Amino acid sequence: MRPTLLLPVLTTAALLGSWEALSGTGILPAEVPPVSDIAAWLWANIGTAALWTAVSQTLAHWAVALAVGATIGALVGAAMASVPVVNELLLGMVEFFRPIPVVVYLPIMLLLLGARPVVVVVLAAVAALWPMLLQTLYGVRDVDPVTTDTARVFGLTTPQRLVWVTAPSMLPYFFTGLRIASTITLLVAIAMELIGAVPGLGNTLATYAGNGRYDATYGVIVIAGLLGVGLNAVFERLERRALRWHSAYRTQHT
Amino acid sequence: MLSVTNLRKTYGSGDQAVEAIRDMTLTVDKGEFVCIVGPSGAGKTTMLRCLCGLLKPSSGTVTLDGAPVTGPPKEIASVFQDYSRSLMPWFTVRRNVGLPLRNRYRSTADRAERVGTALDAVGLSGFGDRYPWQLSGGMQQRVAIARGLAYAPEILLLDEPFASVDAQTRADLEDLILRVRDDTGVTMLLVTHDIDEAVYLADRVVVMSARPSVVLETVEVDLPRPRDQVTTKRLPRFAELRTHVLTLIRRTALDGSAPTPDHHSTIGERR
Repeated sequence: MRPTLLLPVLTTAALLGSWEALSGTGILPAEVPPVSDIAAWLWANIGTAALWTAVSQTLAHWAVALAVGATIGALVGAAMASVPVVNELLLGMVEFFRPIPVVVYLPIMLLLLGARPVVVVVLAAVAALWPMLLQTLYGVRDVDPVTTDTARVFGLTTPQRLVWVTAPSMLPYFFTGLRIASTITLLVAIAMELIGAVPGLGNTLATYAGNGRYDATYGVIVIAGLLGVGLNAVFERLERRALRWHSAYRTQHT
Repeated sequence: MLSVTNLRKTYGSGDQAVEAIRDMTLTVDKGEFVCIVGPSGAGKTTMLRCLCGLLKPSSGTVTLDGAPVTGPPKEIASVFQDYSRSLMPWFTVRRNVGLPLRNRYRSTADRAERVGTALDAVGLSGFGDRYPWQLSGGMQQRVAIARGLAYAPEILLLDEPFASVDAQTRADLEDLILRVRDDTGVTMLLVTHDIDEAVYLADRVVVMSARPSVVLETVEVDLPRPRDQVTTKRLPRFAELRTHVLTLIRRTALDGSAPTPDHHSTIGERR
């Protein structure tokens, strides 16, 4: 085991151990079940269709919302960075809408569309849009002027500069935006399922908690956490692969 | 022939206006090696950017074989000082060198051959599949030179190309450039603040004044070719020429005013 992994594992084990010990003394409320109960529930339910249906529903909300939100964010961000007029037109609106938590739109969306998956997807997509928009905006602006000059001197056309210079140059920002957007999208998707009673992990969580099934509630929390960690790991891998040339990931072999 | 007539470049406007170049007139003939030297901040880079069509002069004209330069001409290639920013880290050496050839040569085989020849010329035949950042600074600048050569330009503009490498590498690169010039006959216009380098390389040295820049003097370098780092620099004539240029530059750097210009230049306003 790598030494960097050893310490976090130790702290986690210590936390879970003292939780279990405290549960044994009976001073914890019923809403905080023993770790062993949660583990038992997970063990019994990890293969059940009900759990995986909820996971797949949430993942579907996440995937569609991220795809739509990130695409719109990246396109708008790129347009703002490269066309000054677009920037002037949209900057005020971006500054106004960006800090608003998407949950405030939920009641209206529920009234308009009902408790349906599309509500979750739309709101999660709005949440995904902002980090992607900002990162793309910074990324396109941050293209090195020397590199741009080089491309111009050697007569590269605008589409060629876009594909061979701007796109690779902004890739680190793109991946940062994508990772942040992915995390926020998952978070918002689960929250909207929970509040709006739309089928998915969030709704499953609300149902278990409402019925006093605390071992199951915590089990679903663990699943949601693992889902977040897993998705983040996937994006980190993609980033590492696409940015082999970048100074942060270079391996020197001269 | 590259011809610059009464070039003037001012940045900004009104009270904040900075006059980088007041009046530059010079011509570079086909096959010539011309070096432009000047004190730091003399608008040397501004001058080159105007020449390669990246910057629009405030007034005056730049013409190439009689045609005015309005954007980057395909007859001119550039080598920038900062190779680490001018080479693209996401492309291999081969792709960096071949990148500007896409619009010129349709066939992949033609392009590969030109890239191979250019890498040979700078002594980097075996390094096509490496990334620029896997190479030393001197090698990276050779990649940038190869990219310029592969473009098959009439004129190669070099903006302080050896300012970011160590002294030994600098001498090697200077000789590489001289050899490339002999082999290809390409016209070279090199900007530097290093007087020894300018005198060693050039047929003519154009000395720029401090900002706002004018041409102080054009010094004909009558040193024999081929030149050699040791024997050329030992010649009494080399010492004479470098002392002459150094005196001009020290004077302009110290008092900041333009002394008597030579017959090539015209100065609109004089203190």
